Amino acid sequence: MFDIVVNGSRHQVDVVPEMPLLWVLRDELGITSPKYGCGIALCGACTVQVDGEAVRSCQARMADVAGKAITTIEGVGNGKLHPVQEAWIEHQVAQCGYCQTGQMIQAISLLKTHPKPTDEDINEVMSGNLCRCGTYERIRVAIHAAAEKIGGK
Amino acid sequence: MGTMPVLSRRTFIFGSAAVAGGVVFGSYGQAQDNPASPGTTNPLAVDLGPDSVAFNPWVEISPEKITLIAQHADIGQGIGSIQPVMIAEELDLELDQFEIRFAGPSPAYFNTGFAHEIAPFMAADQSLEAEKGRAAALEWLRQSGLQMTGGSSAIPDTYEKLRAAGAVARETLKAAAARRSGAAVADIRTEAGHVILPNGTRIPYIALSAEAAKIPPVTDVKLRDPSQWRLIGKSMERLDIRAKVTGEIVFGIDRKMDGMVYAAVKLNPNKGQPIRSYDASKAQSMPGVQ
Ligand code: FES
Ligand code: FES
Repeated sequence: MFDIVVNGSRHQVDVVPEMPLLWVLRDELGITSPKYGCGIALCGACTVQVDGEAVRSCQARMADVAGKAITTIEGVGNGKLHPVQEAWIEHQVAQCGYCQTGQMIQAISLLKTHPKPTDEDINEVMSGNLCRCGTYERIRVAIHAAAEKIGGK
Repeated sequence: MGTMPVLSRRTFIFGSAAVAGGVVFGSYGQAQDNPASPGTTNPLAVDLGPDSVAFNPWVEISPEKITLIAQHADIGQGIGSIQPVMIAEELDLELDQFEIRFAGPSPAYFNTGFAHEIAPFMAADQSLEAEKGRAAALEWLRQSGLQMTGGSSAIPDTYEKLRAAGAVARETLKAAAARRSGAAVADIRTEAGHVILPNGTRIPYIALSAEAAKIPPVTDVKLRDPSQWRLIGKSMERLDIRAKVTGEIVFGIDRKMDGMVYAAVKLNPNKGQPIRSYDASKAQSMPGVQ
């Protein structure tokens, strides 16, 4: 039995210690916004926050994240849309959308460390989040827009 | 610009008279005769709820809601949004007044737009051979009932078909309102999901579904001139963008069915080699493995 706190709610899950967080979220808790892309930390589709940091949930063992605060895209805005989500809508970033929850979680974490990121910062931090539809250009524009929204608040 | 053989192509697609300034969609009927596939039935007519109406394979109205059918199944390129928009343009719907459903399989949804792709002629070629080639391709598509998404064919396929589907629904709703109120159709307007009577009374479309189901669809409709368009050609928020940004959208991998189990494939690490032996005991000892 492990204790897991997702978006502020505490759950108990009966899984093996090495079960990846991604599958605990998706299969045990029914939270399907983190996506399975590769399962080997190559694509970023499964990215969630663990204690505020972007983590590839396909590579995080349940035993290592027990008791920590997990945040998925549902939890980033505290009931409202997060400025990154707003920018994602305004700039119509998503095509199929499959990679985008991971992209946004990564972008939120980027903006914490780089409140005014340059294109190079964005390229560097976002390079591990692949988009099969090729929305990179819009992701960059939306991150700049979100930075402005957050800075202006 | 303007070199597309528009009129002749319309004639091909609908087998109907092309008149200057408008097209008569003689066959956008309720069921048996739908323009996309004469002789096929309207797939929406099969499971229609009580007091509901399906004017054609793309528009269904029940007493509760309006459902527009997207026959091109694509989630990424915006076709899922633009298909209902083309219907809404003629049907006078706002973008939050309908649900979208992807079409089930049916010959009614055969892809007319693909005829231009598979006929080996340049788009600008209006020669008799080219036109014949396209007609033959279209006939092949019709007979095979090829329902497919791809090859940039979604808009060529639906550009007129869906606007006509919306126009037929609109005119039929007006006819139903005329019957109910005694007003003349010519004095009745539509706006934002409502039929508006000459005295200003606004009747929601959904309140007319039962009556509209009882009358034959009005099929001699004219498509609006592009100068009147409210939606087509304008920037819009994709209809599914919010669901994608909040993580609510459901992909195939997110679906759960009763009794569903997951399978994992283990490949022989030596390419092309057969299985010599197989021992599942270790996997089977893991929790949850059946
Ligand atoms: S699924 Fe975790 S990085 Fe690809
Ligand atoms: S939007 Fe389709 S994979 Fe990124």
